[in-house]
Amino acid sequence: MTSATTVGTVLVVEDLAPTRDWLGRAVHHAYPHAHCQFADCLQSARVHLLEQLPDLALIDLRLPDGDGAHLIQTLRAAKPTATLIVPTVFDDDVQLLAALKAGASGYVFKDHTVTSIADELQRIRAGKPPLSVPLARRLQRLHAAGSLALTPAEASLLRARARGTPVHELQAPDSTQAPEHLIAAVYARLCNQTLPVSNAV
Amino acid sequence: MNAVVLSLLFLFLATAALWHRERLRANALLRDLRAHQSTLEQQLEGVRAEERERIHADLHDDISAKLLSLIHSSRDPHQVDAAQSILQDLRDIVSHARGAPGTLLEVLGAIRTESTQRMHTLGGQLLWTQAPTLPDSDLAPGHALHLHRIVREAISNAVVHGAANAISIAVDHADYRLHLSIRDDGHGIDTHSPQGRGTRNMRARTATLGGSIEWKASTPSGTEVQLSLPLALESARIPS
Repeated sequence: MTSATTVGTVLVVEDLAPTRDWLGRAVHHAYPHAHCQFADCLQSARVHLLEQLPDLALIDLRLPDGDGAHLIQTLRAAKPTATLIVPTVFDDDVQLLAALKAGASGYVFKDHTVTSIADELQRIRAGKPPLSVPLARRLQRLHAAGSLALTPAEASLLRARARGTPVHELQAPDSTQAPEHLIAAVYARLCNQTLPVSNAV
Repeated sequence: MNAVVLSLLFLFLATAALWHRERLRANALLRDLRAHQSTLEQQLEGVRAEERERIHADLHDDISAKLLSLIHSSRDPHQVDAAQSILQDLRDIVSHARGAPGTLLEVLGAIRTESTQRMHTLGGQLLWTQAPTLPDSDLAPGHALHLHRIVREAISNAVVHGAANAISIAVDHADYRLHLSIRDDGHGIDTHSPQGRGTRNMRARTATLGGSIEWKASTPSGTEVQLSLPLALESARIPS
């Protein structure tokens, strides 16, 4: 269990230098002993990946040479245990949704403080990703349209979150499971929708 | 005499037949026009969606990048807060432009999340209490934006002008009205005539929502903003 949460290597892919530093500080705050590497485009990120697959990666989506979601897809396939996080500005972005479909574990707001980003990184690493109200609404629309299969518990959690219930007040009907773990399950389902239905649990 | 009656009758029947035919034709024309209109509306929606994504990309690449570099390079928490508020306004406008509909509870949830995060950034605290019986009525997107902005402005005033550390927001309803109280522990403002563009905007936004807003001295210190909005107005469904 400890090996699953230990973070030895981190990769930050972000083209804007001040934001890259900001995210780097958050990584250092959360994991002071981790070895953190930086990239400013897909190309340079791929060079890093050839050397090592990180335990945790922060991958910006709008990169000068393409969409970070491609990198997320590659990394997710190469290292299923990696925690892949999208630093974003807009939480109901179509691109964020595409990144979650590609296998992102969660997202952080680039404009939040270093300490609150650090907290979020640790929470996502522990399988407790955030779910904003606008994103919950977007996912609910997908579910309503039949493009996202969910368990009744997941669907009801999504509905409550879309109505503005704070995450810590969301109640999983099965009280042994934290609501955040259900959110993680929804993200995993979103990613697995591209697989044949028989693979869905 | 008979011939006159007969020809009048013939004329009448002919006119009636003609009128009936015209009416059918007009109805068919109306149906065509309606169908055409909805096609046009759908096309317009398509154009709007493309336009929205274009505007969104521009906002993202230009404005949010600049605001982010300000947030990430400034050491002044108030400057960071100002840049973050602008970024939050941008987020609202983008999701508003996307036409994401919201119910009252969804919008209050979003306001709560944002306000909590904001007070956290400023090293303060936010206490939120909300009546469990609040109706989950539909809120027109424009109204959601106004409500969001009013609360954001109230927090700005409390923190920037009143040097407040703690803010408590209470949401309740009675007699088809939504009551929102925003209290702070700052050093208070002149409650008789709160001045400034911020408060003017809050009054204007409240007026648009058909509500009323008042500033009162809070106990033991600080200011309380009391906002009252008609709920019936908000439950008016917007055409989708």
